This record gives sequence, structure tokens and C-alpha cells, in this order.
Amino acid sequence: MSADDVTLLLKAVSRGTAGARARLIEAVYAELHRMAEAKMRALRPGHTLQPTALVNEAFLRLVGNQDQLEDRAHFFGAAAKAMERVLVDHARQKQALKRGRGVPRVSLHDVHAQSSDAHLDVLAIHEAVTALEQESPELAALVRYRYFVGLTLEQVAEIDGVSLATVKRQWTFAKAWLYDRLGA
Amino acid sequence: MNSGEQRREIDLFHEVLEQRPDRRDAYIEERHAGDPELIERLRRLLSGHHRAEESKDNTAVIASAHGVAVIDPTPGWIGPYRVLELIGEGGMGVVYAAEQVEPIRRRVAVKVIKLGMDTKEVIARFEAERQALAMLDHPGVARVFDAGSTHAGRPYFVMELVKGLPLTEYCAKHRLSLRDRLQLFMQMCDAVQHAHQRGIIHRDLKPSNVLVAAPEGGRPIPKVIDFGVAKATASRLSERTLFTEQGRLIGTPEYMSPEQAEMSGLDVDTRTDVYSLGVMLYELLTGVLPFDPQRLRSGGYVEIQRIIREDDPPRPSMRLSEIGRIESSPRDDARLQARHLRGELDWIVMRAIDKDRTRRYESASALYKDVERYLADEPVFAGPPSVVYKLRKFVKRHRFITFAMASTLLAGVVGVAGLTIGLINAREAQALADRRADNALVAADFLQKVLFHVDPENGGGRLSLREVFDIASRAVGEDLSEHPEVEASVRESIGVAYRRLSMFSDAAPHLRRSLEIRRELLGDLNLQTARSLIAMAYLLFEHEGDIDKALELLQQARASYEANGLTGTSTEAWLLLDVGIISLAGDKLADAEEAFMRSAGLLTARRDAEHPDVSRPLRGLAMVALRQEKYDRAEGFAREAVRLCAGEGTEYIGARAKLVLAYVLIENREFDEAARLLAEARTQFARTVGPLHVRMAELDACLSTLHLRRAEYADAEFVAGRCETVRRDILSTGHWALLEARLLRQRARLGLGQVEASERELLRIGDEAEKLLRNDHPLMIAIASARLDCAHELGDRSLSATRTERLARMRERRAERLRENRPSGSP
Repeated sequence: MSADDVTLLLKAVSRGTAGARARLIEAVYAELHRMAEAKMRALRPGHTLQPTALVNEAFLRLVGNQDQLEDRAHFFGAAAKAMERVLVDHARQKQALKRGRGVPRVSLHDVHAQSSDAHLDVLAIHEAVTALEQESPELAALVRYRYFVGLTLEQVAEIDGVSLATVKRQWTFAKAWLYDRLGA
Repeated sequence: MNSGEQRREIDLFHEVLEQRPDRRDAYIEERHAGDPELIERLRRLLSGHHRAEESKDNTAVIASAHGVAVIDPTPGWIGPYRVLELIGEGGMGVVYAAEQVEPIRRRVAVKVIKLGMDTKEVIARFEAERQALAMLDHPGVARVFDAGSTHAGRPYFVMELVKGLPLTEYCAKHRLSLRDRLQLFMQMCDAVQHAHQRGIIHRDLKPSNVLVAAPEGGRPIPKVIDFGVAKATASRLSERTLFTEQGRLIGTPEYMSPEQAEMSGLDVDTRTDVYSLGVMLYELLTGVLPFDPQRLRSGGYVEIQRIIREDDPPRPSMRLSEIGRIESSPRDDARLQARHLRGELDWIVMRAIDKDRTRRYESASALYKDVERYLADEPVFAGPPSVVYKLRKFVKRHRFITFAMASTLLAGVVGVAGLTIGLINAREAQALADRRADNALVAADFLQKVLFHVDPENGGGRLSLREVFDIASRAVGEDLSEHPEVEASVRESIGVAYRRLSMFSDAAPHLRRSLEIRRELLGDLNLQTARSLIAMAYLLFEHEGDIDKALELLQQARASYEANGLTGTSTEAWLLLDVGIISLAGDKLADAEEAFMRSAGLLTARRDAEHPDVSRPLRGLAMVALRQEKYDRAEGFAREAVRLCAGEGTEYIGARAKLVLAYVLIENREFDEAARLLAEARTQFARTVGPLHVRMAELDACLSTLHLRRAEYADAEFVAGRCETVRRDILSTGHWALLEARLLRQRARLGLGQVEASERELLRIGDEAEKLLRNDHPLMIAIASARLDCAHELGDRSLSATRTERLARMRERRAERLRENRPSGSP
């Protein structure tokens, strides 16, 4: 998919053309998936992918210098969903791998680090955010930006063209909603 | 739920949060009595909120493909520090304002690794960074007070919390005069240089990272903050993840150097910081940026790159005359005006922001010094941008020179005229003493002619110091032709001055001519001629890498020693040591071995076998054996060298001996002892020569090698980077030792998986090395070997095959040459 195609898609999304958004997400997903694969091959075990960087790089590749503010918001919205899928795919793969044979050995250090972190896992957030989307697409988008792309609140405010205070309030709310859901 | 309802619910929830924690439940009940559904929802949200708050240290997670990277919630405490607020976020760390309670109550800044980024490698890197920052002790840099790790094991360190205004705001608010602005700027340069000398590159210098604090009634002090944030992230982030670059794309690309904007992530060095300093100076002088931010940001990133790489910003004076005047400049006479900037300040700024970093100031201190010279009304080194011929024309037009310049040169030449030469033998001494008085007068005359025959009424520009030397260079041939002995001395002085200014191609003709004159006048075998020969040899060796020619000159010097009865003295032993060192650098191992052996023999005979000085040739012998891969022999010599330096006053040579032993031990895979020796040597060098020194760089090269052998790539990269920084600062651009540092760094990056970047940089290193070194030189072989590994990593079979073959050929050739193993001079 070339930069021009993506720009056309962005225009279509702006006009509200049916199905354009889904196609945009597909296009971005394909690119992110490809990039993530390439990077994971190049990286050594133990490295961490930076979703923010991936998405930004995808933006450069697909939209490049034809950057318009509105396009940017559409792009990042689509990219957040696409990134979510990349991460969910990966988490599922990893889970399958753990259940199957040929499991890479996990050192004691890794186990300790993970359990003490009690981190939220990708699949749980994915499930919760999908539910949240039913109630509020806006908040779901915010959660995706934060969890799956790693944007700061300031960056979210800039992309969505809203004030930082608003985003902060939304974030506090969304987090409370999420923790309630995940704790249940 | 529609968005209106959603907003309302968010508002209602925040109303709850505004209540005291213990009253919130009751508040929900009272406020929404009659709406049980809403009450239930708010309660659940509140419990979710509390859970989110409780998880504090390990909550918000960005899941990522290989693990987790985390957005930190503000923690309550980090170690014994109570966290007040988030004040900054870098690639891998976050910075909080915090309060320290004991032993003193004060506010501090605490930097902690982001949760989820705390992989072993990042922790190592963070630790290395902390140690480096702890070495910074400069009023212009926020100080590091303390370090530790949280109960969850995340390392943090505690810094001085700087209160002040961002640089540009401060200048605007206080309407600083030109002079005050420049002085503030110099302090910044000094702080940055201080960091560079310790191997820390900032990479994100901009006004918001320079806070100006003005103590009550005191002089304002700029403090550079966020030091090392970018550097610390470099090895992980660079071209692979684009974080820093992206962060800046979203923030401010205005201060980014072209090489940084390229996003290749390659090889960003201290000159990147020089560029950013230059942009800030531009802004301080004109109130605007070199590139209009609006235009810069109107295009996408590709356009940003293009502008930074290709567009030439107008000179500051031109820009200021367009604008009229700076809003924030003082109203009175001190107002910033275009005419103040024209000429030297323009040159200084334009040189600092040159797109080609080789034409920039080579260091922050060079920039500092030029601003200082400007303020002292001395000529600056920066000239009108680009071409040298333009400069020469300028000299012809404006034959006007300031007194300061004259006196600078005067000091040099009078020094030459009164020279006392160390190696004069008794017979020569009397005759020389008679001539010296005459010569001093001739030298003074020369100065008058050269420096004052220019017309001060003529022309408005001042000349750069370089131009003064250029004038002297030309005049010396004409005016002193009658007094060749003085001419030789003056030329030697000028040659040495050029060399000190790193202007080697200018130094060479003077040193050469000085040598010619002395040869002709005093003969090949005169000791002054020998002095010229040795000076010339070192110029050729150190700066042009011409090892063969350097050795030839040393042989000639040796002949004159012989003629003057110095054979067999310790003086000759030192010369032999030089011969050995230069031969070794040229991989002429048999010659080096012979020279070191003879030097050791002479020193042993002249002093005693146990004298610490004997360790010097022993060190050389150890290096020769190491190169011949005779490791046991090498270890024997090196241990003996270390043993001789046990006594007092031998710290420096002792450290050098330990360095050599460490190299040998690394080859013998005795890593622990090598590490211990290097630590000792570091302490000793630190006490004797300080951090910015060739020896410290050598030590870092060795330490980096050790890390590489131990597969500690992040450390290896950090140390090699530090080595490179120091060498860049003190060696000429084309020096082979610089290539060695760059090679080590790429080796480390290869280990870190940054294959494509290494491949590109190794190619460059290889090209540059080819110009300097013989094809079978060990450094060439090391480069070829790194490139082979690169091909393997890239998985390119045919490339691997080609490079394997090439490497094999080089090794073969070297083995052949070493098998012959006889001095190059013998048949």
C-alpha cells in the first residue's frame, strides 16, 4: 500500500465513506504487522518493542509529508486499533507456544520480574476495551492510545484536538472503569 | 451511551473524587438518592479508581510484543523521597520533583527507570549513565546527590532540582544585553564541554533544557538539565525505534542537527551538541530561529529533514535587519542591532551550525573560546563561511590587524628567539650564545614589519588568528631570508602553532622548511636539525599517519646523535623508544622489537635494571609479542613492566604498564584480573592526567574490548563511545586511533543487534582506514573481521563468502610478512 493510497483512504474516512475506516485499519495493520515482524527478527530476545515508535514510523511510511491535522487523528485512531491487533496476535501466539512444546525456557529472573509486576496482560485489556467500546468509543480510543500505542496524555490531546484537562478527566474515568472491570 | 451522557458521567465521577476519600461513598448516596443504577455505577467506578491508585508502582501497562513498557503513574515514594509531581519524561526514565526529609529537608529531582523498561540491559545502561552523571561536577549542570533502587528493584538517582526560567524566557524577561547574553551562552558551552569530556552527549539541547537560575543579587547561572537522557537511550532507541527522533518531531525539530535529523541514528557525536548550541546562540542574538518553525512544521517529516539538511538559514545580522529589532532586547544603547552581529558574530554562529559537522567547531570549548575572543576584542577563529580563497582575498583587502593579535604572535616569536636548546653540546654553545643576541634583534624587526606594516586606517574588519599566521607565513620567507637561523626558528614556531590549532596541512610546510634550512645551514648531523627531524617525525606520525616517513626521519636524527657522541646514552634510548612506538603502530614488529630491546638494554645499563623507566621498552616488547600472538612471552614482559613500577612516583607509567598487561590478559581470557588492573589504572590516570587525555582514551579502548569479549555489549558501546568522544576532542579528524574507537563502538552495536547501522558505519570506517593503513595492518584486519560478522548477521551468504575470502587473504599476507620476521632495513 503506497502513501498515496493511504492518503486517499484518509480522505474517504474524512468524508465518512462506508467501510473506509475498516479498510484503513486493515492497511495500517498490514504495515504494522510487517514492521513488527521485521523488527522482532532483528532484535535479540529480551528486547522490548516500542509501539509508539512503530506507529510513528508507520505514520511516516504511509502518510509521510502529506500530513494534515485531521488525517493525523484518523490515522492514529486506526493505528491504535491495528496496533492492538498486532499485540493481541502476538500474545495469543505466545500463549499457544507456552502450552505447546518447544517452550523457550524462562529464567527464574523473568518469572520473578513478571509476577512482582502483576502487570495487566494484553488479552485482558483487549477484552475490556472491546466492552468499553460499546459504552463509549471515545474512551475506548483513549485507552487504546495509552495502552497499545503508549501515547502520553499530551499527545492524545494534541491528536484529538481537545484540551489536556479533558483528556486527563477522561483518563481517570476510563482507568477506574477498566480496573473495576478487570478486578471483577 | 451517547457522548453527552458520557461527559456527564465523567463530570459526576469527578465530583465524587473531589470529596474527601472517607466521605465519597456517603456523597454518592446522598447526591444521587433515587437513582440506584447510577449509584451502583459510580460505586464500581470508585472501587476501580481505588484499585488503580493502589497498584501505584505497577499499574498502567502498555503491552508490547516482547514484554511490557509502562506509563508510570505518579508513585507515592521513591526510596526515602516523597514524590511531589512528574516533571519530565525521557525515553527510558521519568523524572519527578520530590522531597527529601533526612538528613536535610530539600526538594530534589528523582529520575527512575520506567516500569517495564527495566531489562538487564537498560539497567546496566542506566547505571552506566548514573556513574557518568555522577562524574559531572559543574555549576552549569544539575548535580547528582544520591542513588538507590526502589523496593521493586528499579534503580533511581537523585539530582539537584533546578528552579529557573528557560533560557530564552529569561533573556526576554530581563532584557539582557548582547554582552550578558554571550556570557550566559559561554557558561552553557562550558557546562556542555564538561560533559563531553566525560563522554556524555546531550543530544537534546534546547532553551527549555537550559534553566537560568538567578540567585538573589548574584549573577545568573544557566543549568543544563536532562543530561544524558538521550544518550542513555541511544543504544536501544536510535534508528531502530525512532523514539527520540519521533519525540522531537512531535516536539521541536528546530534544534536538531542535520545528521540527527537524518534519523539514521548513526554516529551522532559531540558536534551535534555544538550545532544545537549554535542554534541557541542564533536565537539569543536575533530572537528568532534559523528556520521559521511554522514553515518547518508545515510539511511532514520528510520536508523537515530536507530543510534541515539543505536550506541555508540567513546570517543572524541579515535576519535581524529584516526583523528590525528583538522585542525583548534592552531599550537603551545595549540594544541588539544588526550591525553588532555583522562579521564575527555571524561567522561564529554560522560555523557552529554548519551542515557539515567537520566544518563546525570541533568542540563546545572551541565555540566558547571564540565567543570569549569576540568579547575580549580578539580575533576569532571562525572566518566567513566556506572557502579559504575568500579568506585570502579578504586578507589582501583589509590589511588591518589588532594589537592583541600582534602580541599573541610576538610572544611566540620572542620565545623562539630566546630559545634554549636542550641538546647543545659545549662547543656549539658558546658560538650560539654570541649569535643569539643578534638573532633576537632580527626577530623583533621581523615582528614589526610583519605585524605593523598593515594600515590600521584601512578596512573595517578584524582578522582571524589564522589570517595573522597566514600573513606571517608569507612574510617569513621574504623578510627573513637574510637570517635563515631566525627563519628556521620562526617557522618552527609557526609550524608548532598551526599544529596546536590542528591545522596540520599548514604546519607541514613550515616544519619542513625549518628542517631544510637547518640542514643546509647547520648540516644533517646538527642537534638542532635533529630536533626539527623529531618534530617533523611526530607530525607525520601523529597527524598524517605517515609511519614510514616518520621512521626515516627518526633514523636521520639517530645519525646525528651518533655524530655528536650521544650513541649509547639514555638520550638515544628515548629516541629508540620513539622508533619502537612508531614501528609498532606501523606493524613493523621486527623493527619495533629491535628498537625496544636496544632501548631496554641502554636504560638498564645507564640506570639500573630495576629502574621504573625500563618498564617503558618492556611494555613495547609486550605489545610486540602480543601482536605476534606469543601470549606467554607478552605476559612475561608485561608483568615485569608492572613489577618495576611498584615504587613511589610511578603512578603514571605504572598505569600504562597495567594497561598493557590488561590487553595481554584479555587475550589469555583472564578477564577478572584484566578488569581489576583496568580499574586500578583508571584511578591512577585520573590522579595523574585527568579524564580528557589520550591515555584515558586508550584505557577505554581496552575496557571496551574487555566488555566485548564478555559479551557485555551495552557497556562496551558506552565505553567505546566515551573513548571516541575524547579522541575526537584531542586528535585530528583522520587519525587512525579514532577509527579504532569507532570500530569498537560498531562491534558493540553489532552485539546489540543493530546490524544495518553497523554495516553502514563499518563501510565508512573501512574506507577511511584504507587511506591511512597498509592493507594487512591489524586494525584493517579487525575491521574486515567485523564486516564479516556483519554479513553473517545480515544472513547474506554471498557477502559472507566474499568477506571471508578477503579476510583470509589479509591474514595470510600478514602471516607471511611476520614469518619473514626480520627488520625492514636488513637484506
